[in-house]
Order: sequence, then C-alpha cells, then structure tokens
Amino acid sequence: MEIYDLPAHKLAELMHNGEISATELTRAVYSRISDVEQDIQAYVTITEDQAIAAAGALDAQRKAGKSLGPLAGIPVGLKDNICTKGVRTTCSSRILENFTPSYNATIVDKLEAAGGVITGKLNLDEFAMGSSTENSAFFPTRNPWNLSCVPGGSSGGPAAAVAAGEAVYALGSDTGGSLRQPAAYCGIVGMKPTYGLISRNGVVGFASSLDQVGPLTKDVRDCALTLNLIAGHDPLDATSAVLPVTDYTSFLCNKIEGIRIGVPREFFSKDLDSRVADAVKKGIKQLEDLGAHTDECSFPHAEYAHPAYYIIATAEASSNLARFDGVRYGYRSLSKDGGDLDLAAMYLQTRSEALGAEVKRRIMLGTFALSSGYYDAYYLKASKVRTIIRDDFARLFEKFDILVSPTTNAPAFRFGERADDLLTLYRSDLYTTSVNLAGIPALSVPCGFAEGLPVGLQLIGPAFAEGKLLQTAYAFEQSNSYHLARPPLKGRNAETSTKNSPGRE
Amino acid sequence: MKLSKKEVENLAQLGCFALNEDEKELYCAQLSEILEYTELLNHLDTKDVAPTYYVLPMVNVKRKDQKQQPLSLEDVFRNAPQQEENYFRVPRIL
Repeated sequence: MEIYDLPAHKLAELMHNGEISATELTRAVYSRISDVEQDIQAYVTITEDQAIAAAGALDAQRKAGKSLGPLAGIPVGLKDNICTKGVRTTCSSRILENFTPSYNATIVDKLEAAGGVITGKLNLDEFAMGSSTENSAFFPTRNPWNLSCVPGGSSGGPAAAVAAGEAVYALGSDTGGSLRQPAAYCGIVGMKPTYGLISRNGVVGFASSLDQVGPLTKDVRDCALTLNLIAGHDPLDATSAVLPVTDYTSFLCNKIEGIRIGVPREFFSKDLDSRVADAVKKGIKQLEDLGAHTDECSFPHAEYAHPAYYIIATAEASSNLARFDGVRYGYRSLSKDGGDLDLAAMYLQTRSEALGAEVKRRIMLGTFALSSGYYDAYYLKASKVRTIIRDDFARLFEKFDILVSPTTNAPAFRFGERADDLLTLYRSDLYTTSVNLAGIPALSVPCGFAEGLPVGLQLIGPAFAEGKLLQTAYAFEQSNSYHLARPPLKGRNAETSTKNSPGRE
Repeated sequence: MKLSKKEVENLAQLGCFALNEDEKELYCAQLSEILEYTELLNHLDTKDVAPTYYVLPMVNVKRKDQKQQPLSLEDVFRNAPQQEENYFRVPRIL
C-alpha cells in the first residue's frame, strides 16, 4: 500500500516511531491529490500552503518532545458546509461562493487543537440536499471505484476523497443518510452519531432537528479515534448533550459473542437490489459466525419513515434557508447597469439567481407543508409519524442491542441515471432516514462488492450506543478484508498542479 | 394532492424567488408527485399520537449574562456585499 492508502492509526504509529513526518505525509497526500483530482473532483477549495505550514509546526513540536494526540499531523478533509475561519465555506452553492467565515465551527477548533492538518474543503450537494453531488453548483464528484458513477451524497466529496487517498479521513454531516450512503458507495466507514453527541455550532444548518456531524474513515478504528476527537458538549450548541467523556477505542475488543442483532425484514423489501441483498446476507452470516445472535424482526412502520422525513426535512430547510438574502453576506444581485435594485427585487433576484433547482424544490415543498391550511395534514402529521418511528425503534431495542440492514438499496448509480426520476433518486436513502428521525446512531461498514462497486452494511443502535456499534463493526471488519481494498485508480501524471485550476486557492 | 401552477407561483413567492414558465410547469409536476408520495402517511391513524419535534429532552439553555469579546468590525463586515462606514448598505426602503 502507498502512504496515502493507509488509515490514520497506522500513520500515527509510523509518525510516533519517527518513520515519517507530518510534512512528508501531508506532501504525499497533496501529491496524490494532484495525481487523481482531475478524475475525482472532490475538492472545492484546497488549502495546501496552510496545511504544509501546520504540518511543519507539528513536526517541530514533536521534535521538541511535546506529546501529541493520536490524530496529530494526520491530513483531514472537511465537507464544505463546515465553517473554517479565513477559508471560504461555500456549501457548494452560488449564494455562498465567496463566503469566508469569521469563526471556526467548534469541531474545527477541536481538530486544530488536536493537531489535525486540514487539507481543504470538499464538495457536496448544494446545502447538503441530494444523494449524488450532482446538485453541487460547481461540479459533480466522481466515484473512485468507477468514474462514471456518483460517489453518493450529500457528503460525496469527503467520501470520494477518503476512498481515493486524497485525505486520510474526513468530516461530513448526515441529515437523512448523507454520511452513510456515500460511505457505502465509496467503500469506507461512515458514522452518523446520536443527535446531540457532536456540536453543530458553525455547521451550516439544513434541517436542524435531524442534522448531525460525523466521521468518514478508512476503517473502524479511525472512526473511533475521530469520534474521540469531536464528541462532547459545546456551550455554543444549545442542543448538544452533556455526557461523560468516553474513549471509543476501548470498545474495539474484537468480541461480539452474545450480542443480540435484529434483522428488520422491511429493510429487505422489493426495493432492494439482489446483489446488495446477497452481500448483506453474507455479512449477517459472518456476524453469526462471530458469535452474535441474529433474529429476524419487524420494523412495522418502516415505509412511513421516508415520506415523513421528506416533509420534516424540507419544512426545516425552508426556514433555515430564509437567512440567505444577500444582505449581510453571500451573493447579492445588482441591476443590469450594476446599480442597486429596489429591496424586494434584490431579495427576489438574489435567491432566484444563486439557489439551485433542488434547493428551490425543497424550499417550496417545505413552505407548502408549513403553510396555513396544510400544516396539520402535512407537517404535524409527519411529526406524529416521527413519534411512531421512534416508538418502533424503542420497542426493537428492548429485544436487540443492534439492528442490521443494507445501507442503500443499490450500489452507486451512474451520472444522470436518476436525474429525471426524483422519487427513485430520493429512495437511495430509503434505509437511512428513519435513523435521523429517531435521532439514534448508525454506521455503514463495507461488506462486499457488486460488480466492482462497494456495498455497505448498516448497523443501527439506540441513543448513545456508539460504543456498541463500533464494537460490532470492528469485529465484523477484522474478520474480512473489504476495508483493505482500494479503488483501481490509475491517476494522471502529476505535471498539472491542481493549485493552478480555476476556482482553487 | 395536485398543485396548480398558481399554487406553485405562490410557494416560490413565499420562498422569495421567481420562476419562469418552464420551471413552473416542471415544479408543478414534481411537487405534486412528491406530495402524493407523502400522502402515504394518511394510511396511519395518528389521532392519539403526540408529535415529536426534537428527539432529546429539550430545556432552555441560558448562559451567564457576562461581557464577552465580540467579533471585530473587520470580521463582521468581511462578507458584506456592500458596506458604508460601519453599516451594511442595502437598497433604499423608503
């Protein structure tokens, strides 16, 4: 394996033993970026100079004998809806194309304090609304396993970057599956933690009661290490939970004898691709071989989670996105001669020009669900169904420690394949949205391939059971080799530096 | 539920953006399709179910009323589309 193929914990070991410096590692990652980025297009903004400087400073600290954390000096990429002081944060939207935050998200402060070397900002579906990065206002990101396929979304840029070796790990966000679905499509590990475990301060809101930040990593140990770094209460996020500090790596014991795993039959419905079903069933057999007790069960209202999610998520989005009005930051439209429009025309034209089609669609849907006369039948109804979904999960977790399902109903699809069929596109998050409605944690771990494309296995746990999820995922991962597979990316010669591409800094 | 073109126009107006004729037709069809899909929820009896808005038990969080360091003026106006002295400049309202 090349340096850029290694997980963070292996690199940390090499660094600790003096076999590689943070600067060498960072340069290796940027050399990989200049090799494959033309094919993958994961980055909206590359921050090479800052990263090399940060790595150099860490090397000096290490040399001076300072004790550094396990992820110090490891290059990490950030989804571009996470605010970074002094580095533009676009949400892959025209309306924020030139927005440079004045402060860091709390998780960025935590990363920096722990010596994380930030490689740049990664592409997403505009404002995290989508399943493929085709809704990015700038360009789509390609799947490293097959360049004619989507990487998933909305965290498609971060997932593709990690899979392609353009970042060792990354942080993204998950509102309805935006970490787990791209992780499954790109053959890596992605976790949506419990709502409230990780601060959302400085992460641009899409649906505030559903959004949660989480890691995208090459293996389960890296996932645990990243969670250690970013979890914890934040006074700047009123929805952040107060919990004792946990070392998530302490759960990686490679033993799952006796763990009770439920297999909801509704997640193996007619929507499921047979190749994905085969890989997931093989995965479940593997969990049994490791000593887990698996049992089929019913998640009776599963089919209602997805429509309820679309009402709640769009309702919250329509409210959250009202702030982009061209007044204090972001894009502002001018009249044809470059002068001022009147105020109403300025609002209207700014949002007409700078918001994309999917964002407008969701704002309209959410506005409808919240509007007088329809509120009870749509928004209130969906919020009640949300209670029913939570109750379903609560009942299942009386009997099971963990639930297992496919992460997605099919492997990565081809570009454009689902562009004209919204409902089919939306259904790529059929198995992930219920988790956000209930606020519980889930992760996707690689469990095989379907014609060269990775397949993900989803593990779902009750609130704050991240430890149990990691324990199960780790034992599963250590008994197969899917996490060691790397995409057959040739890369181009490194002559054209990505630094010279338009729109990059 | 099928939305009319007029209703789509109204939603866009509430969302504060304008649509051209092609967009109105497209969104009319798409939003109607999505709404019809969500009406699956009507199969469920929710008469006696309380709604969930937040999954965590939420309480008001208050901070101490203490003086804090605000952002510098430079930071506040860093992204201003138009600025005049220490104000955000906007088009005339009156």
